Amino acid sequence: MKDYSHQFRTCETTGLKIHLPAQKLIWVNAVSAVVFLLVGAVMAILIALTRWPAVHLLPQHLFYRFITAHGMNMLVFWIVFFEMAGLIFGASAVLKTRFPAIKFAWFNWILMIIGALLVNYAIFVQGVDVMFTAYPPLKGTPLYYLGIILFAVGALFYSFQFFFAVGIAKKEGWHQGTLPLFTFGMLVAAIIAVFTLLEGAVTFVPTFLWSVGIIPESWMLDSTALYRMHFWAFGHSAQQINLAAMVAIWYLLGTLTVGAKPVNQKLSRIAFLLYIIAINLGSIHHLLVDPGLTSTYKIVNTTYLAFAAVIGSLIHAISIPAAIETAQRKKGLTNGLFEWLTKGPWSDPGWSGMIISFVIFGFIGGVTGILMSTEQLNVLHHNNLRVPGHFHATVVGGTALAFMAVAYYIIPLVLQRKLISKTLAKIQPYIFGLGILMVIMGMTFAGLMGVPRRHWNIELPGIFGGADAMLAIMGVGAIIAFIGLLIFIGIAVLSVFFGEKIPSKMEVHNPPFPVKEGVSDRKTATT
Amino acid sequence: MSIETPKNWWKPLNKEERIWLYIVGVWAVILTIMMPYGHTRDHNISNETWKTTTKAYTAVSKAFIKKYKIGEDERGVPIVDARNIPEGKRGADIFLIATRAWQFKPHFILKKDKKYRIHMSSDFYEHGFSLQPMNLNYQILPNRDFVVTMTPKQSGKFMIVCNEYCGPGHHNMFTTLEVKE
Amino acid sequence: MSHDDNKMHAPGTFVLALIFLLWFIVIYFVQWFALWDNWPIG
Ligand code: HEM
Ligand SMILES: [Cu+2]
Ligand SMILES: [Cu+2]
Repeated sequence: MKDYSHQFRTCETTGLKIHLPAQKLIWVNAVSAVVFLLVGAVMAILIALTRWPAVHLLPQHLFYRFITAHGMNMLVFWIVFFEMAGLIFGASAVLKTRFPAIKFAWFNWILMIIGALLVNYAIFVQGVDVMFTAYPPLKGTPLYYLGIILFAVGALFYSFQFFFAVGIAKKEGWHQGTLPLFTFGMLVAAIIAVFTLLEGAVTFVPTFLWSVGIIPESWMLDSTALYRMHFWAFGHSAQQINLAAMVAIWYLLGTLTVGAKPVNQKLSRIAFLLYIIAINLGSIHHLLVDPGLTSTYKIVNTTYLAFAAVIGSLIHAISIPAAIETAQRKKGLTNGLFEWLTKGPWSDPGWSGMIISFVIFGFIGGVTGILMSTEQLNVLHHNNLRVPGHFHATVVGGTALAFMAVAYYIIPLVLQRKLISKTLAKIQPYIFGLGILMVIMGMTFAGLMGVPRRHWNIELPGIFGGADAMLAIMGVGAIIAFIGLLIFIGIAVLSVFFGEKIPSKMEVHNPPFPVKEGVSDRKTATT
Repeated sequence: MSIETPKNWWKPLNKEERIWLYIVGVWAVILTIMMPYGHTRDHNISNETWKTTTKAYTAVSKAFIKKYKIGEDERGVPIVDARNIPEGKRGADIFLIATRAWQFKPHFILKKDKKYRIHMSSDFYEHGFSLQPMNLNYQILPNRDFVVTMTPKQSGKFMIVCNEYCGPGHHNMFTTLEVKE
Repeated sequence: MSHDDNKMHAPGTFVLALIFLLWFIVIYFVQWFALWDNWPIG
């Protein structure tokens, strides 16, 4: 067996053993994520200022092109690259184990980067403006579909590698017993990812073949309903990956910020399992006002099957704050009902980011999601701005903010750089939180007044005048949120490249209870 | 700790957790029951879809417009007066088409409190049917004739706006729906 | 592992959860009434 014992350093704060080659992989995936976040952010401010009628910034073709770019770079590239970093972290550092097949992992990263670059090339150079949903017969270029496929294949391989790494940790004896809750959550995310990415193949391989002329247009025209079903089996399940990863990160942040312990791991784990068994079928809530489906089919898919996952979320909704409250009360913050909360470390961006993300996700994102996925109520929501209002609460105010909050810990602890500005980091979650909240509110209320999503000029039909104020709130919020994003990106990038280095505490690290013969006589020593 | 390997974690629930689970369970049952219950009211999403082809539907729509056309509006969209179309038992059939040139046809005049069966389909792209300001929204697909029943309860001028992105002319897609006494 | 590790003491959380549920219930039924106020559709 190869000797990995000198490839580890110890994190002094958490006691985690970090496998150095895995650390490089985490670095490259996290940095890629932030780069795409920057592209997405520039697109965000441009399209938001276009949707603000008083400003109406972009010409029409750029508007639709940039929404496409915003959707892909944000929802797919920023989020998924960050999740890959999370998978590697969960399968190596948290298990105090080596990450196997490092070269293969680099290969996967290259696949994903090529995919992401191809998609951006297709959008910006070839002028693809089909939106990330790309409903045929809207047609992208072959490179657009190819890029998505390469990216998805890379992510799929990473998920397999995660399983492999957990297996190696067990087999070689690095880790014994139950998986830590964070890793368990990431395992759930990786399992959902496999299903999701296979559905991605079912969706995008035929469209790719159509774009190169192998599949005739008449087939695509007849399969629009089928495409929508497969697309959302992919697209919605992808949101469950984000959900599982975000919840795992909330638990992690609870631990990192105030030392919270999950009060009842049994319950938390069951809640995670509910995500796997229940959620994929819930994708049908994207098709509630589609022709061709029966009420029974829609109700079955969106009620008990999806509500099992809702129950999962409602369990986390109590067990995460309960863990934090219990930990805080143990420290003596016992006055009244809420001292544990009011006296929290509000100047720690990990804490403030976590709380804000939790509140925006739960109170707005979760609730609006249930409204829309109710069979009859969907008719009041479908494709108007309430939909982006909803998912900017889930995936932006919730997931993206949670990712940023944890990045403030990842940068020093895992990437070994001090944050270049603690002061800016302190205020960043508040700025971003406030901005995105305004974006969400503006979109939601404009949507209530019927304003459609993805629409360049709502003045044309002449009936949406009443929504101007709402869209202005959205526009101002977008500026604030954009500033928040820029602060985060600035801190992350500058810290990672120019921040003060935190020296490694190297350690010879071996499996504590090696299973294989021949390694058991090696000693663990600190140098 | 969420990053620690837990020991003996299969433990009974705390009291608060048990109570919360009961509450959540009851709420999930209510959410589930509301959808079938909703079907006892007159506000449901249509289950009626016919397979068609873009060609056949275009022909149907043309014939419909020709039969009931009373003129053109200021945007050149044919105006169809559908007030006297026989209602029958299930409602009066009217036909909306979303065209490849990013137009909705026709401009409707409907009668208040009369029941209509609005057929909707597309001759190429996917589109959205969004009736404003009622804010009732449906998906329109090519090769599918989606039949939505609707009874206008107010008179006045309403708009059907496309709210599914359908290409560069998306924002030009809207037509008028007038309801008269 | 100490015996009270599993003990939860979180009255504040419970109250917050109930507030959340109340908010959820109100918003949810407001939507239904908005729908039932709209034109009859089928
Ligand atoms: C500064 C922060 C952000 C602002 C101001 C912003 C604003 C917007 C706006 C104005 C739209 C177009 C809505 C429409 O017309 O339909 C949009 C769409 C979207 N945004 Fe964001 N956004 C932000 C961050 C994010 C992030 C971080 C994500 C993902 C993690 C994201 C995901 C999306 C998606 C998926 C769409 C839908 C695109 C489509 O309809 O094809 N956004 N955003
Ligand atoms: Cu359209
Ligand atoms: Cu359109």
